[in-house]
Amino acid sequence: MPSLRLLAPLLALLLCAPGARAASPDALLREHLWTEFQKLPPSERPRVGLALSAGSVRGLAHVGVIQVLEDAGFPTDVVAGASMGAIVGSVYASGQPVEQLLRFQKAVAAEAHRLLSKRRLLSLMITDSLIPTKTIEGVISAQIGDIRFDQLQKPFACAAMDLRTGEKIIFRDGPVAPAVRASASLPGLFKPLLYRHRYLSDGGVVDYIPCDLARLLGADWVLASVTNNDYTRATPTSVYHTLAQVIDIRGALLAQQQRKEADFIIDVNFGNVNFMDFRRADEMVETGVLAAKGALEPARESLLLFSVSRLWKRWVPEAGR
Amino acid sequence: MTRSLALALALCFCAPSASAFQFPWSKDKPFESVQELYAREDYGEVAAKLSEPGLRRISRGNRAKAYKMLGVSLERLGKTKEALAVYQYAETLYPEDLNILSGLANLLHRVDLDDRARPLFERVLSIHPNNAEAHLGMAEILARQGLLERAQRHYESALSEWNRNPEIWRDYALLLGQRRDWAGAVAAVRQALALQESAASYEALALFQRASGEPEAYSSLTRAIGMTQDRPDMRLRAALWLLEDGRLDECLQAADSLLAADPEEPLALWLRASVSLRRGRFESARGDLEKAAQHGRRAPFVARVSQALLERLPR
Repeated sequence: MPSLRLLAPLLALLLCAPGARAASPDALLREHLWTEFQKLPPSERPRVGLALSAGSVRGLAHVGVIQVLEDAGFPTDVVAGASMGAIVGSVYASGQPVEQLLRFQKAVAAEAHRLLSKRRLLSLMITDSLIPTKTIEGVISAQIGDIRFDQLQKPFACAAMDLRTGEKIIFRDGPVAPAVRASASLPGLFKPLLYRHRYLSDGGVVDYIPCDLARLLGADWVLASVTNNDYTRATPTSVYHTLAQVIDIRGALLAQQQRKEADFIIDVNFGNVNFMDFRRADEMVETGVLAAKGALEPARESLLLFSVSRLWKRWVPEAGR
Repeated sequence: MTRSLALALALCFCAPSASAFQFPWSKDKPFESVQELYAREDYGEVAAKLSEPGLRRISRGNRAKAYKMLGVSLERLGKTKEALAVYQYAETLYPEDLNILSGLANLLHRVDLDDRARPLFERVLSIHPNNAEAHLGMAEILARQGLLERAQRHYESALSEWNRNPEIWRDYALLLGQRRDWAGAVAAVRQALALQESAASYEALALFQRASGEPEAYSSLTRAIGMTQDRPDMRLRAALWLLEDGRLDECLQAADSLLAADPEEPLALWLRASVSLRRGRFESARGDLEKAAQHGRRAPFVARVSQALLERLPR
């Protein structure tokens, strides 16, 4: 990891390619303040949280968002995720580089595609038994090992729902893989997980954008990556698509409420993507990259404005006393 | 034999564009005259000659080239819409023609319709995988979209063909900078400078040197400033670097000089206020920050930061 100092000019490059056009005063000040921000010791700068929303295949867009944030040297101190956001977030929090995350995304997509094959779905209807998700846990363990939350490089939390009580169950200790598996157990398709005396299903149902979890982990400023599906463009006719539509509508309504908890939101908008269409995984990642690239500078501005009081102490030494 | 020859000739002369028919050994005079005009960069005349009836006089074998020349000429004349219409029509006639596809893709890219340009460049590359123009187009689009790794590969392919173009080397350097490959970025921008010295390349070099913590960064930026008269942003950046390095007297001098040229320059006001703040001169800082905060339309972020600082100033 290069020193933080190295990252500031990079952002200048992102903002204004020399020769292409003159840099605006805003761009220059962002560049300067970013340099100053990065000089702040970790204890003096705001703790930045990254909240990754639920969204099934669409949640793979978070990989693209993380790629842009990492390329830009955008700090993330704590990570929270729900459902697919938990799967992606756990691997990111384990400290794996973006290249690994991109490979992991392909493995997840391949496994999910296998789990949600037509044959599987047919057998689900005939036998009336939900799809077990042990293999999802296997994919996560294969990527990060059988580690516990306290062994992750960044503090991480994810949520699941207790199907018996409707409670939101927060995981931030114990083994990571089963907690993430519980958080990503899509209702109606995947078998809920009996874990720690709870009967757990997808966290996205109760916590679509887990900003609250990021704050619980100590974040002062929360950046949320939110996947939005335009469900109004779909007319579901099958059992699964109707179920998907209900999940999407429920998620969107919950998201409307939870958006207010974020300090900044990167909205990843899709036209209408079937939540089971894992063949489009690469396209999801690319959509995430595009969304994050467009939102990067406003996100930096938001964080810098939030940090003015901390920078003030650096600039005006008497103020710190 | 005689009958089939007669039939062939009859078909040729009865074709809808019989006037454009040419025997392989005959010369295409209308096309040659347009080519001459095009070589002379007389784009107005080219556009006039290649109007609808003019195009019909060009032989079929040259008509795709004529469409391309018409598209380019209209572009050069600033008639972007018309050029786009020509390329789009030509693309339906010649969907495999690399010149037409590239022309359309480049025009769409230039007017920021990258989503439409990208599949066209991809089509060009599927027909001709080494097409440097398409690689460059893809590189620029992917870099703009944040897909840096793939952009880098396309830049490298374009450079393998066009390695004497300083602008491509500089853009490639900027991409490497975004990927934090500082050594590669410095090497690439030096390549650009070896081909042609320019303020833009020196500025890029300065940024990479600054990123690497090299002390030459400031002198490279000064050199860039010396090569251009119309880039106050470079002078503002230099002043910001002075502030970062704690060279407050020099920073103040630079800010004053910028304000002498433009008394309302919001970032220069902010710079002067920042020096005052660091020196504990809150009243001087207040005056400049109040002025900078009023420039919400010209520099909204500078205005918001100035307002935030004003709110913290002790009364």
